[in-house]
Amino acid sequence: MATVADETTELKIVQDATCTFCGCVCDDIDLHVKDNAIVDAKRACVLGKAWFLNHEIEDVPACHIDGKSASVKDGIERAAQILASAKYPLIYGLSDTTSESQRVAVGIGDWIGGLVDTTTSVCHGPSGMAFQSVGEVTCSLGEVRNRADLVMFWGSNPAESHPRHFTKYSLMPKGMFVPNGRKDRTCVIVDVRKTKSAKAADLFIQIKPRCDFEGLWTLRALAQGVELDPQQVLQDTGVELSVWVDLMERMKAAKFGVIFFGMGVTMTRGKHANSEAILALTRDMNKYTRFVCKPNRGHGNVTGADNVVTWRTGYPFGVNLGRGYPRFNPGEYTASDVLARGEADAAMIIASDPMANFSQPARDHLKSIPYVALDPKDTPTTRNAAVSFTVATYGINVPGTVYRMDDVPIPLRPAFESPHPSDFEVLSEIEKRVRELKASTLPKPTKNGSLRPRT
Amino acid sequence: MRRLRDTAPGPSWDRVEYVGETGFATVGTSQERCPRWFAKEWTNFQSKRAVLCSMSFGNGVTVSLIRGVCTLAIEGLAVQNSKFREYTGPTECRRLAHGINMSETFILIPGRTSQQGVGISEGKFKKTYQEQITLLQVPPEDMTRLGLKNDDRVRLTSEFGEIEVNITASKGDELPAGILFIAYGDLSSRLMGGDTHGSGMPTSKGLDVELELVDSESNRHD
Repeated sequence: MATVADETTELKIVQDATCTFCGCVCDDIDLHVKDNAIVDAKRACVLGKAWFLNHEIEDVPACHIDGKSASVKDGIERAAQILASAKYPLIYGLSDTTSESQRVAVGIGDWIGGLVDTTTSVCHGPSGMAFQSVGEVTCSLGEVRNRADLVMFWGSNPAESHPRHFTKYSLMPKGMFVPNGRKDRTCVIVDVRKTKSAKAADLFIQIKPRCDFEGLWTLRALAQGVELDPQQVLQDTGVELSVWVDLMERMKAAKFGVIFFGMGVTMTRGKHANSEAILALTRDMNKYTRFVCKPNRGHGNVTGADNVVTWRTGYPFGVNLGRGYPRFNPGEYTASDVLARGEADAAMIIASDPMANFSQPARDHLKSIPYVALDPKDTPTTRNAAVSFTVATYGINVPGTVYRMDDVPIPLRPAFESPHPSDFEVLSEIEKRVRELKASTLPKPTKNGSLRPRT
Repeated sequence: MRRLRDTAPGPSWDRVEYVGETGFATVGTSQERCPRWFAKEWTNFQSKRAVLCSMSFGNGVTVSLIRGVCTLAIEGLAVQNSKFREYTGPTECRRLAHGINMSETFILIPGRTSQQGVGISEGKFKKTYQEQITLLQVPPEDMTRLGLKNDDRVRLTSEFGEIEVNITASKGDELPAGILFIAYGDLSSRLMGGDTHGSGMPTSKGLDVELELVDSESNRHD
């Protein structure tokens, strides 16, 4: 049992609580809770401590309509009206909420014939495209912990973005086949900056900006035994051929190699072609040894969003349900695009902040259309929403399921309740009302109860 | 847009008249609008007659304040290099004095920092987050080369937008010359374009930007 009450101090200790700040989803945190405040978070990293210790129940109404406080019931009605009456509505975000809420959100998207996109599209969406074209040779973080003797990070800075990655999963732990922990592992970091993570590297390779594709294909060529021109390699990658040759020798000699790749790969020139190159290189390396790769995912349940949207539609993000069946086309149905092109006429933003992180044309258009926002905190997105709900925080106030970056589902163990409704409760009510509004517009069932047209 | 305007070019040196906005001497305004650092450094400041003050920065650059009109005199250069017309305000004097005579092209890498992550949990409108997303890291060697100092304010211009941020020297050799870093956020996203090239992902890293000095730290604090 996770929760223990200490009667003498009235301090509640929640054991093995789950931190949902980043994709590591550490589920070994002990929370000390007093008077509905978390006073300590044992084993949490700097990001986890900030996540837990800064948590406070927002002393604001649970709902605002056009900037004025309103009842949740009125907010749900207005939200349902906005979504049900739109011609090309967008549902976006979903990476910082439970998988239960994600499931309901996709259901709403289906009822309103809208677009369902998640923050994956501006995170590892290009990798999602690459998975479909190349496939992914991968494993769980537990396998990395117990087996990996060569750990590579490409375009990723876990020392700042996933502070416990090194200590809990990838570098420091003593594992079944790496009994001496760090001493048994070689760490390679490839980046355009000498980041904080680079300090942990045995080999740091500083490539030219926007030349990840060239660097990866240099390695692919070396893996295939292709002779390369040293001058050309230096010109293309900013790194001497001998350095790449050395790295390839280390990769071939490893017993279990892993490449973690970050948004330094997906957000720069090449995007999905860069991710494809990493996936293909990983596949190539299995000719010599066991080699896997894994994107380092950022938000707490962005991996869950990929999983849930895939269960429900067959595609991981950027899904158009407008024709009654799912269609997938990044660049056409992804949030950043439909907003920047001025296409969506309404939106629902769940646990995300596009008003702070999207391109200016996309922000301008979002500001010009009615949209609904759900977030535990005050953000630029909630401030501009037609209807905004202040919701309880997942993992701290709300139970449910999230997916770690290696697709392992992990339960949440909340610390205390919030007076605000959860995403799940608000979305469930919106879905219920949208169904009522949309039911009248659906074709009448035939005598045999089928909606399928007679042929 | 503040600009310099040529007036009365002389035979050996050309005079450029500055027509500025708030914060700098403008035509017809009094000397009080002149920034304090600017006035402080000038000689003859107490005189309120013909030439109020004059300062030579070397490099053939002389700046004068005459009856509230600031003039920037650039010996033998103003006509030769029409880009001087684009220069703005007192910072231009400093840039010219340091031999910096045009904006610089850099590659900007927006990214995550742990303090930015902490700031998200504290609240996006609070100090930690705002400080992180509005502070640009510049390689120390570029700082030296361009005569920039910590807390100088610069303008970054991309193909899609422009922002103004304060700068700080990056730590050690974290950034190679020619690369800038800023924490992801509102400002970095203003430099992105809306097109995703069929991927759903705007190009958010490796952005080509022009860097210009807007206001120096010493200017604001003198």
